[in-house]
Amino acid sequence: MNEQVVRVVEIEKLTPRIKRFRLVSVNGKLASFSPGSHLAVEIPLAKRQYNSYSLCSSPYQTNFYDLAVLLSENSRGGSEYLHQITTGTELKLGLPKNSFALNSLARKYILIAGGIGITPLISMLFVITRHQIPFELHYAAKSPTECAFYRFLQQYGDRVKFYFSERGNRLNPKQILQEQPLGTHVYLCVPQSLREDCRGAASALGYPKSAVHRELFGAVKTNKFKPFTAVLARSEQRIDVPQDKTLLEALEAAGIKANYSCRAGGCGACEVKVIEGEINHLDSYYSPAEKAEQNRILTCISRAKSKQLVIDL
Amino acid sequence: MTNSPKAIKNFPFPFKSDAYMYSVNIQPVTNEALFDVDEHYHGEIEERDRILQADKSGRYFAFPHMKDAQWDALEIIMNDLADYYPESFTLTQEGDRWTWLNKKLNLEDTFTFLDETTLPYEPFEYISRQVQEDIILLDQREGDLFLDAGILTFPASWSLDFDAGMRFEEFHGPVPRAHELGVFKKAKAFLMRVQIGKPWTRLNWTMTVNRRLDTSLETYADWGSDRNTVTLDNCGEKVHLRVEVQRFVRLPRSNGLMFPIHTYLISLEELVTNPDWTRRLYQVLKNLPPDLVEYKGLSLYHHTVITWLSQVVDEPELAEFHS
Ligand code: HEM
Ligand code: FES
Repeated sequence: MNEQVVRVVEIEKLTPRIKRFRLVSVNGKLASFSPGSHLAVEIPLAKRQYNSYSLCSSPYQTNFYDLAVLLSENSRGGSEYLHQITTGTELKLGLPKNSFALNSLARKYILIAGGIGITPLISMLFVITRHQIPFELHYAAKSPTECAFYRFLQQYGDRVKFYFSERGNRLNPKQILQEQPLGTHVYLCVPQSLREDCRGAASALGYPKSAVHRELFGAVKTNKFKPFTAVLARSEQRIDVPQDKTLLEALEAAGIKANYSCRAGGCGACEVKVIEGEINHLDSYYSPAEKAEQNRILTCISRAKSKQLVIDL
Repeated sequence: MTNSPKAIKNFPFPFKSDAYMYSVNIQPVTNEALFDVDEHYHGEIEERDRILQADKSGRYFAFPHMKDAQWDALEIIMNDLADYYPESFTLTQEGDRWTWLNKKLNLEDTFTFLDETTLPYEPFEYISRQVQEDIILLDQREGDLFLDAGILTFPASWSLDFDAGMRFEEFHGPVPRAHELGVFKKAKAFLMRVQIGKPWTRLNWTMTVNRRLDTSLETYADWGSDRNTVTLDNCGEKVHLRVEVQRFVRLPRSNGLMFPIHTYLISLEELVTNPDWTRRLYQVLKNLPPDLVEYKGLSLYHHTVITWLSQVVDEPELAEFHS
């Protein structure tokens, strides 16, 4: 993953524990992104890892990205690394992905943030205000000094409400969500307990499920796959599939004619029957019921849970 | 308008085996233009303009919530054309001031990116009038894809007007078998996960009598009866294999999906210059299930084409005689 190479050109301390990084492209143009997107940042520590962060700049801004990073105590070292770099540092990024997209037909948006959860909602504000759609932002933080983007958010006046726990202000989901117009969409980027409260309140008030959105980070590839052995039932040939190769690649390397089309677990062309062994389905092609049958595998993406897989080839 | 030898050689012949059935036939696009500018560019751009001038309704629309998607489409198309055909297209960007040069149409416009008032048409119409592809823009929301904008002057027997605003499985409603085979459920799940910068492609095919791109339902009266005119004598010249090269492209700012369709027509007498294609097409048509023959609108001349092709397969020199 080195799809985009960027340089840090500005670092701002938003709160004692949150820093904002402004990134510009080193190798061409930055990929555009939609509001609510996140991307993977490569952390070049001894054990290379990828952390996901939400973009918090304007999607209409083509020259730079902003990311806001919370220094977290129980991280694997990614946020500590980012908190000690200086301007001029180069970073490798993935391409933007979105699992928290704005519904383009909403009549009104209610955005609810807790702490660092504000970041994807910032990118949304640029789009919502450009299209002049009504919105409310409810933002819970410890105190004004612990509240990232506190000054930036003043421009939106009373459409933004702050709840500072230090002052005993609590966010009341029911109060916020009741008496909103039909077609209101709710965006939650809050700690789990508050998220459940908000979803419960929304459901009790009759919000359709599809109108309540919550941030779910897409799994960043960890490359933590296990090697396994494929046994070809007809020829009894044994083919080792190392952790960094797919079953399809291993078959091809062994000179076996294997079908494929998309090579991404989406089309079904590479399907092979499985006679024995437990499959780890990683595709988006089979339904859960088909996956549970455990009798066929898409060789371009899926792997074995067991040490060995006997396949019908 | 016929195809040059080069165009025939490059024709996207769609059959990989002797039996055709629907499947989720999608493949990655790598190091290849998304939009094809070929020898029919001027003819097809003029044809498109004529159709839009005669009656734009039913041929072009964009719902108001597709504004960001329109600019996304414009940005991707301009960059694609300028990257792959630099001798014909140039895009100069100075901040938000963009200058677009289309030498083929002798056209130059300077405009402000994201400011609609600086272009002669809205952005999607502006750019789609300069490519040969029909283009659909889909909005992704509520776990579905909605047909919320499009330009469609060369459709294979469907209506943009009728499908406007529909969901993925709704606008595929008339297609036989594919729903039962689970093709559309799987295709949709796949499309919803198409990523920025990683486009996909698939081929679709049917047949058309006479070299006619506009076979829309709206103009059915003009071409429907052509299907009665096919004989063994005129088959090679009249009947065309019609192949759509379709692309699936994530629109980055709007999170929508762009679906360009480039339609290629090849007459049977052009096609049979390639003996492998002749044999393949003959087998595919012989094996085609009756409900697909019916759905693709081939019923009236399917049999004639098979007979004609069988003669060419048996006596290849007939091909030369015909062409
Ligand atoms: C997202 C973009 C897509 C759009 C807008 C679209 C639209 C359409 C439309 C309007 C038709 C004609 C239906 C009619 O008879 O009225 C059609 C046919 C069809 N589509 Fe799609 N489609 C899309 C993607 C796909 C994909 C990914 C597949 C993959 C498997 C697919 C498979 C088919 C098939 C098999 C037919 C029947 C074609 C024939 O036999 O001639 N479509 N599509
Ligand atoms: S090649 Fe498409 S699912 Fe494996």
